[in-house]
Amino acid sequence: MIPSTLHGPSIHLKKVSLQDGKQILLDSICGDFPAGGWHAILGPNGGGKSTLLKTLLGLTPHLGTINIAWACNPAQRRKDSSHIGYVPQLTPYDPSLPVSVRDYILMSLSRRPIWFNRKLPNHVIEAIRRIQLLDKMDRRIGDLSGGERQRLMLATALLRKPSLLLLDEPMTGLDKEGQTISLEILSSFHSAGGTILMVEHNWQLVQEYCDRVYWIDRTMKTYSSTTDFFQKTEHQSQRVPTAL
Amino acid sequence: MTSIYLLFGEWVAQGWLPQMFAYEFLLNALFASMMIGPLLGILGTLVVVKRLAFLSEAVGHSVLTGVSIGILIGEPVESPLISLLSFSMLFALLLQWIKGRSTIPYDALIGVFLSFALAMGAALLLYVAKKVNVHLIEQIMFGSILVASANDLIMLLIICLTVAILGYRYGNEAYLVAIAPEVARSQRVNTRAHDYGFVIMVALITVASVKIIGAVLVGALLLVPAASARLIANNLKQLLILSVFFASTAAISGVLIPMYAQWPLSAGSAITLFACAWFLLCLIYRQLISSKT
Repeated sequence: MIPSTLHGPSIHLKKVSLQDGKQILLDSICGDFPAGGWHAILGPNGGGKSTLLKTLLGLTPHLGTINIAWACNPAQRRKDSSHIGYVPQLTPYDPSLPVSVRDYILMSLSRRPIWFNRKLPNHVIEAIRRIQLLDKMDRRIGDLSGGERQRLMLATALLRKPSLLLLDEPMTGLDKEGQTISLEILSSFHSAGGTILMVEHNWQLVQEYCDRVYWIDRTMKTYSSTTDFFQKTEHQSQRVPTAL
Repeated sequence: MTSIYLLFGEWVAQGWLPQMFAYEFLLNALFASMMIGPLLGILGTLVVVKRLAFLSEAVGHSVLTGVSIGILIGEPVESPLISLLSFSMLFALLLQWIKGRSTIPYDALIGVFLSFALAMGAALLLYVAKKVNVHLIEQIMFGSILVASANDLIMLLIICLTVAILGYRYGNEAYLVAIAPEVARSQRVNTRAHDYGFVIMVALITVASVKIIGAVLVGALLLVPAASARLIANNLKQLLILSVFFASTAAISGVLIPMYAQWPLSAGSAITLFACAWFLLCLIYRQLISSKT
């Protein structure tokens, strides 16, 4: 599912601002996300973490400059590759919609209409086996648990072989086993050289897996390492007690 | 077309088909319904997945205003196509444009547009009713099998081909945009183009179907077959096949059965009632299945 070598991009933000009416969502953010890093984005609710990811995806109009420095490796320039994989926040899903797991994978993967060819390539089947949803391929997405849906979103985000992953609370709703599976997948992606930006509330997980921490509360503060962040106590009062 | 009419005439003469198939207007309505059914069935699946049941109603009602404007500016009373098409298209595009520039919930915005379209259409229709035969108003509102022309069939055929090509190329993207727009945008799908494309298709198909089904009921055939299919489908393939099947059988039966049985029913009413019968059957089937499990 994940190529052995990836060339994740570095991201450079210069005075990135975003307003919704009179409300300032991001206030002149500057900072760098080095290539190939697993970067945690922490901060209070409403601080602008999800907004930053959406801004990086180009979903929201903003002021300032965002430069994503893609590695110009010709091997990465496949037609089927989308550079960015995105896992949105877990949102309520209408269980009555007749969209199966297979439908969702096919519509993300193939341009051919999903009602013509419903067979999946072997590497996709392997990816679905890895997230333990192979026996639920023909279930409606609405019948999956929140954790299963989140694993599906992560696996689907990786199907197009991105080199940058933007994850908005990817561990929400996952049980211990689901977290282990997802973290294994993310670790493989990170080891291969991909860049990960992950909004996360589980500080213990951040401490264990991430390289750097970025604290977002409309402005952004960069910590050169997770140790650097956790040694400082200024944000500890906002820590949500979590356990792996 | 003439050779097709002659062929059917021959089959009627040999006793293979009932007498009603000798009428050109019925054959036109039949061929139109054979294209309208699949078109509305396919687009209906997107209406259901996007939860935009009232969009088709609003666009359908805009037809009343479009027709009235056409009659007022002197277009042919039976077929004010230019004003009909341009007003419905403008209406749909304006709706989408405002949606993209405001924070009003989409259903509320559609509600406002629907009310406006109905009020404006009613006001103008009452005004033009003095100038035209009152049966024409009835035809516009509830449809008729008498009015489909060869030109209408050509227009429907062009729309069918367009939908087939667009569906083949962009169908998957359209469903992804409907289900997970942010994920679609992260895959560099132009969701705005899809949203505009969708409302344009709704407007086009509404205008093309309005003669047979009528302005008041055209939205129903866009919604009811897909809503019926949604009750029993487990995936998008089943949803599409069932929706097309329900819409096509309702459209064809709605044209043929009232004529054959000589029921005093407008085509739009008959088609919608047949579609609602499918909905009822699907509802019963679903209840039976869920009571067994």
